[in-house]
Formats: sequence, structure tokens, C-alpha cells
Amino acid sequence: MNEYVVEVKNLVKKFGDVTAVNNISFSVMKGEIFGIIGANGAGKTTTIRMLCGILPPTSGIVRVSGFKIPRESHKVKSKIGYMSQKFSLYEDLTALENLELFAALYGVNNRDFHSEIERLNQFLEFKPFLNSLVSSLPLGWKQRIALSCALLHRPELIFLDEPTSGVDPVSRRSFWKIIRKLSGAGQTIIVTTHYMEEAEYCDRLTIMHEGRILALDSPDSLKTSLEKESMEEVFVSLVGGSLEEV
Amino acid sequence: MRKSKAFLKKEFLHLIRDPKSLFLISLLPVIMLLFYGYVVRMDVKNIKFGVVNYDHSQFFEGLVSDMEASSYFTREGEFPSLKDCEKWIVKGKVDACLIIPSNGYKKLLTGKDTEVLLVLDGSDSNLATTVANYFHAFLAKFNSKHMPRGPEFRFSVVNFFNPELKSSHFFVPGLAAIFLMMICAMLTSITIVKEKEIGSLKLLRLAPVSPFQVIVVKLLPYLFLAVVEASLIIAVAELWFRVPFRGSLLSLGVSIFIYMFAGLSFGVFLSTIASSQAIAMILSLVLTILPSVLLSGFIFPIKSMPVLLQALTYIIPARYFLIIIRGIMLMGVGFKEIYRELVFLMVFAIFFFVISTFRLKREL
Repeated sequence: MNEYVVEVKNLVKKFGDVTAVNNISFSVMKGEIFGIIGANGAGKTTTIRMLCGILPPTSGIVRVSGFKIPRESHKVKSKIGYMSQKFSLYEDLTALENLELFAALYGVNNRDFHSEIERLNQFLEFKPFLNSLVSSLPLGWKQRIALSCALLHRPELIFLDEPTSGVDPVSRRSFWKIIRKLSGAGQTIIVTTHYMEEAEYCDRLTIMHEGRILALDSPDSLKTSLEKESMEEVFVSLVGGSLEEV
Repeated sequence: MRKSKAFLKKEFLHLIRDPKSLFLISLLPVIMLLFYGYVVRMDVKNIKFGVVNYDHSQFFEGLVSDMEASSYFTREGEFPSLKDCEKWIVKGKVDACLIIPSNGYKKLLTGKDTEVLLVLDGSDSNLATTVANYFHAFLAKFNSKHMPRGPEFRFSVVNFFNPELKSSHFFVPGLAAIFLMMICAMLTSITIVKEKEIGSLKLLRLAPVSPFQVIVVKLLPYLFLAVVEASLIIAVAELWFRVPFRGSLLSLGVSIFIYMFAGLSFGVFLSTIASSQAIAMILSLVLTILPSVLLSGFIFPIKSMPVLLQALTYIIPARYFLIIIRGIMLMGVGFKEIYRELVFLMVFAIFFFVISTFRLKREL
């Protein structure tokens, strides 16, 4: 039986006359890596914000880990983790101080905190850096600490919002290795990206354009059904231009 | 030559293409001039005075009504004794008190000079000096009109609360009021906009915390800092400038605490509306120092301002704190005399606290 962590039906968001999200539907299964691919303005961020419960939808049904949005948004907040490349950590605090802060914000108690640190360290191996100021850490390590902050409270669902933009390809690959491991351990992950190479890592993905979902399937099935070699080509054939152009 | 001309053209184009700034720049000095022209006035009208008439003769009634006719003075009432008139000065209901000695009229009839006593509020030494000068001019006119050759009215002045009219006793508490407001607003004005700039506010809104919690934690550390700051300022006022301290430390402490809460709340509010840290800083400076100096009654008497500006002074916290700090330090008043001012400061603080939580909720 498939257990859905996220269910979206006929979701619409309008800002005045502008329709940012136009009647989209999808579901995300437990343990899945679900990608949302699209250019700026495609509606990715608006969708994520509605799923996080911080932006009320105009119409449609959203359920996140069993809770209805927007009515039960406050309950959803502690069920999700969020990480983005733009900001994730306070630079003038040490890695450990950041972790402690987020643990407290999400109501993780002391005992759980220490066992969580041990558990996450197995994936992320951040222990040597715990007492360094975040500002002194290389980007790749900041990213691991940020991911840990988002995972501390054992969220059912984690959002990775453009998690690797600006990171070098080597770090990006090792980051995705970790993500796959987490997903293998049953963690549900929703990721937005505009790197087509990252799209390949997703179990399933949607391609969004102008607020609509143009396609929704696994990367392999998308490539086979459209008879394309790479995700880049899939995207171009669907949207009518490459990501840089649209 | 051609290069300079092209450059010059570009600069003019910049100006024309930005009509809003152009409009503002060309009109701002005029607006400022109008505003300051009404605020910056050292002359005082409607000086409220009380009378203690120990003589009870009709003659002095004439003196008092002549005073009223001069348009500078307004009679607020008559008091049975000096003690009552002091109470009214403390309450701020009168600025001056005229004491007429018993047998004053008899003395005049016998051809001797008679002296009246003018009691002034020395805690506002500026105002006291002005009022004494006006009264001097008034009396000179009165003498030459009614008693051209005969005996004269003279007067002597007593300044309550600050007998030597030391300007430091008057300025230092006022400056403390202004700087405390400025410091508090500045401390918190960058807190939220800073998180907006680095992007951490997004994480706070995703976390299960309420805007109320966020605002409270934004205020608390600075409240401690502000209390330390205030203690230093009061210590300097006392130990260095030797401003008298006649009230209780407790009432001053509580008042300062509430005043700082008001300033910090206002700062947080600015932080929720500013788009950058720099703007928040500038806003907090301009919106605290200017109104506190101009509209609090610190230097420029509120009663001399046009009605519209007078109305504006009611929303300036420094106006209330000035009454409180001068009252406590110079007049030795307690909670009974200042509770109205404290209530206002509390309302101000809570108002901006609530507005900030709502602004943050929308932001979040």
C-alpha cells in the first residue's frame, strides 16, 4: 500500500490577476525524492510555500502528513524540515549553537538532541566542525550543518529549496549521495532545482511552467516517452526553450 | 569639452527621470522651514498663573486683570496659600504664581514702594527666565501708566525646584530623555530587518514559533542592555552634572523601564517596516531625535505652538518622560503625580508591540 505524505489536488494560487499556481495536482509517497523543476516564476516557490503552510492557497486541497492546509498549518510546521542554499545558519554562531537553536525552536529535548546528533553524524560526519564558527566553514560543510538543522526534529518531510546552487560539482555529488541515503532510510524529500543534472537523482519529478505541471513521472520514463537522451532535452521539448532561456 | 557636455547631460537626465526625488529635494527645505518656523519659537504665550492675594484689596484685582489683558498671561485661579500654589506648579497646571503681600495697598497709600513676589517653576529654567522678563516688562508699563510719579511696584522672583536656575538641572534630564529614546529605538530597529536581509527570517517563519515569541525575544536582551545604559546616564547626570535627585529611585526606575520598553517597541516596529538595515538606522535616528527635541517641550514651549502641532506632541513619548524625569529628579514627585504619563507610555509601548507582531505575522 502506498502511504502519501503529501497530497495536492486542484491547487490554485492567485495574486490579484496573476495566477502563480494554476490547478496542479500531485502526490508524494513516503521515502520518495520528489523534484519540482522549473524556471524562475514557474510557480515552484509558491507551491513550496503553500505546502509549508505559510501561504494560504486560493483554492484546492493540500494535505501534508495527514494535516489539512491551511486549517492545520500550525501542526504541519513541526512535521516538516526546510533547507535552502540562500540562508540556513547564523554565521556568528558555531555549528553546535545553530543546531541547539533549531532543536529548541522545534521542541527537541536534550536527550533526543544528543542521540539525534549521533544519528545524523553517521550520514553527515560533521562532528569535527561542531565548535567552529559557521562563518569559518567552507560552503559544503555549511550545507551539511544546515541540512542537520532541518533534520534534527525528525521531520516526516523535508524541503530542499535549491539546495546546491553555488556549490561546486564535487560537493554537489557528495551532497546528493547523502540525500539518497536519507531517502533509503525512509525520509521523504521534496526538492526544487534548476540543475538538470540534479533532476536525474529524483525518483519522480514534475516540470512546472507558468504555474502548470507539464509533466510528472520518473526521469527515465520521461526520457523514454519523449525519446530524449537527457533531462535537459526533455525540458527543452516540453517548455520550448532551455532553462536559461525561459 | 564634448565629454563634459555629455556627462552633464547625463546628470540632468538622471534628475529629470526621477521626478519623485526631484520634487522631494526641491520642496523639502520649504516644508522644513514652515515646520521649524512654527516650532522654533522662544516667545511664550498663555503663561498660566495663579494668584495668592494676602491683601484682599480691590486695587490688586486691577493689577491682575491688567495682566490678563496683556495676552501673555492667563489667570488659572486664586489660591489661599503658597502651599496650594506649589501643588499646582508640580501638577503643571500653572507656570507662575503671583504673591501679593498683606497690607500692600496700605503701604502704597503711604507712599512707599511695594514688592510682590513671583514664584516660578525653576525645573523649566528657560520658561522661568522668559516669564520673569515678561513680568518685568509688564510691571514697568503698569507703573508708568497708573503711578507715574508715586511709589512703585517692584517684584522679586523665587524659582522653585531650581533656585539658581542652573541650566544643567534643566537640560541634563531632558537630554537623558532624548538619548534614551534614541538608543532604544536604534538597538532594536535593525534586529528584524537584519534577519530579513540575511534570509533567516524565512526559517523562523517555517519553524513552529509565533510572531509574539519572536518579538519578545527580540526585545528582552535589549531591555537589559537599555537598563544598563540608563543607569549609566543617570549616574553621569547625578555624579558629574550634579543634578539634584529629590524623588525615589524606585519611581524613576519603573518609569525608565516603561520608557525604554516604549522605545524598544518602536524600534522593533521600524524594523518590521524598513527594507534594509541602513534605512532602519536612519529612520530610528530621525524619528526619535527630531520629535524628541522639537515637540517634547524640551526647549521649545509646547503652548507657543499652533494647535495642530500641539496635538502632535501628545504622541511623542519624550513629552511624557520629560514631565516624569523632571518631576522625580527636581520636584521629588511620586507615582501619584506621574501615573497618567506612565499609562500613556505603556499604551505607546503596547501599541507598537502589537502592531509589530501583526506586521511580522504578515511578513512570516
